[in-house]
Amino acid sequence: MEAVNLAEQLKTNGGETIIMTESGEKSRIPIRKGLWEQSGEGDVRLIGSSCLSCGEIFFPVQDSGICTHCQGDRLEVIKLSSQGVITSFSVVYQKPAGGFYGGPIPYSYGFVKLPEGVKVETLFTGCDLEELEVGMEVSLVIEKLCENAEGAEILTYKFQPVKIKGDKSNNVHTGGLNNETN
Amino acid sequence: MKPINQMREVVVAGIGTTRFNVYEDKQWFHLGGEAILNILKDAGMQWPDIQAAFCASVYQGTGSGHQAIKEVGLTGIPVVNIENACSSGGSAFRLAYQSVAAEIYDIVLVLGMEKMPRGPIPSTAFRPFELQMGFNVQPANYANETVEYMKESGATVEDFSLVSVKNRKNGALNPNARFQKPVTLEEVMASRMVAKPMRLLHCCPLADGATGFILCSRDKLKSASKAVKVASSVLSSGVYGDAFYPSALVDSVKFPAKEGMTEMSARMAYEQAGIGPEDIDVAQVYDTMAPSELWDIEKMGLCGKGEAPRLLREGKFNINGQIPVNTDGGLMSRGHPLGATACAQIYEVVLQLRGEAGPRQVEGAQVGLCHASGAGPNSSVTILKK
Repeated sequence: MEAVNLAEQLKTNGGETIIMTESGEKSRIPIRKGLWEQSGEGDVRLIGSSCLSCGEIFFPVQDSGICTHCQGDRLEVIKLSSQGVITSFSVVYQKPAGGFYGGPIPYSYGFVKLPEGVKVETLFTGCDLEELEVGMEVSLVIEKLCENAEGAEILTYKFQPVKIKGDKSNNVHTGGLNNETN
Repeated sequence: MKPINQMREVVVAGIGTTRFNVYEDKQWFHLGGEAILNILKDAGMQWPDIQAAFCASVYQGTGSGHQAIKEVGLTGIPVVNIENACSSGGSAFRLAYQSVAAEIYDIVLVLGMEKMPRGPIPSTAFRPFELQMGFNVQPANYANETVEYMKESGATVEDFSLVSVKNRKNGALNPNARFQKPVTLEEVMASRMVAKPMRLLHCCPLADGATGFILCSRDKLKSASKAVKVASSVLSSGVYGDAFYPSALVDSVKFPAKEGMTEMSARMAYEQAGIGPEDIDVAQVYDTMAPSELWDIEKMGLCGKGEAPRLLREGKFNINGQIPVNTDGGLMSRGHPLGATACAQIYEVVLQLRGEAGPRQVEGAQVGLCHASGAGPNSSVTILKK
């Protein structure tokens, strides 16, 4: 579950990239195009829609081009905040049905509220799953979810607890938004 | 638009079911056929009396209702298949009710049935990337809602464990339930963790089964003493801004729903029936996961917000309590054949209103409510009156 080195990741808006590993070439494929975007500086953001009529915000982008709140058709693509707060979560101890999920077990997913006013359903990472708490501040990370049948890494977005900079105890920060954090 | 409660009166003329169990050697249509014969016998009617059939199932595929009807015989009547996830049975019942109320038919069949896939349910109510990210674990989706409910109401894991204990105790009195053995609080709290904080005995078991009814106008009844009136039958399929995690539906932060889907379905059902929650003598409330019974009791208006855990401890929802809930053991004991579940709830309320519920009879029950909700999202509510 090593975090992807963002520097070697795309400038391709979530497109497939080829990376070199010790065993040769390996491709990394986002779970779905257009869920996130990365700037040249490595700043990664989820991509959503904002309705110019009513102000509602959506993640992911509204494919229909319609605001499902007011049915307005003037939506703009926006970059969402990369930090938010856990509103709920669960830890799953058995493999989901259907064979769709190829990631590790146990795993945790739940909801993160972003400051601009939208909730995102997400996987959690970057800590012992038993340490997760409602109200915990978390930040966005792009990580490997699993490998597909061809051995390519499937990447997805996850949120991980924000750690206080320079705190060697690895304590997670659950207070207000801390701009000092990385 | 004419309100349905100003149309023709509709009654439940007959009921029938199979036992809910795991059947290795039977398909859904075998179970459906068995239920139909039981329904006809109970109603005292003949197969050619039936003018239309509304058949609910979720996983059986194309023409699933026809397969069950064929077990008894094709007679030229229209057979319609209804898939509305866990509210399928309630949705089929509603269409059947409307067709008799509107005087399109006099006598119709409602049939809910399912042979469940084994293991956890592979829901299709998700986008491909959500399935790949593992968001389709229903105990975990309910767990997320549970975490929110615990925060709002102060409910504890022990509180909703007591739902399992109550319902399994009731199920021990139901010969049609899959599980007929009570469980203790200790057994629930010690059962395997499935999706934190949900343990195995907080989750309803799967089962195969079929349950159904004949609905008709009062003048077509063969046995007037058995008749139970349909006071209302409603369906809400989601409102903007309301969360329903089992369908990956996230609530809106900016525009939260003023009235949630479940509350809306309850309000519509009471309005249509011309009564209020205080008139309900017995209720079947959707306990697919133990904690959901608590918040759905509240959303049905049977008590105030956040009060259900305390009232459960005080015994208010026991068979001999003020508002008995899930008297037949609920999904927790009966098991959950998706297409049949909402019908099984109605079956139990009809038994209760007829005074035929045996050792689990609620004394003097006159009005009963059934609520089922599920992926889509959907919330169906049916109110029956003696």
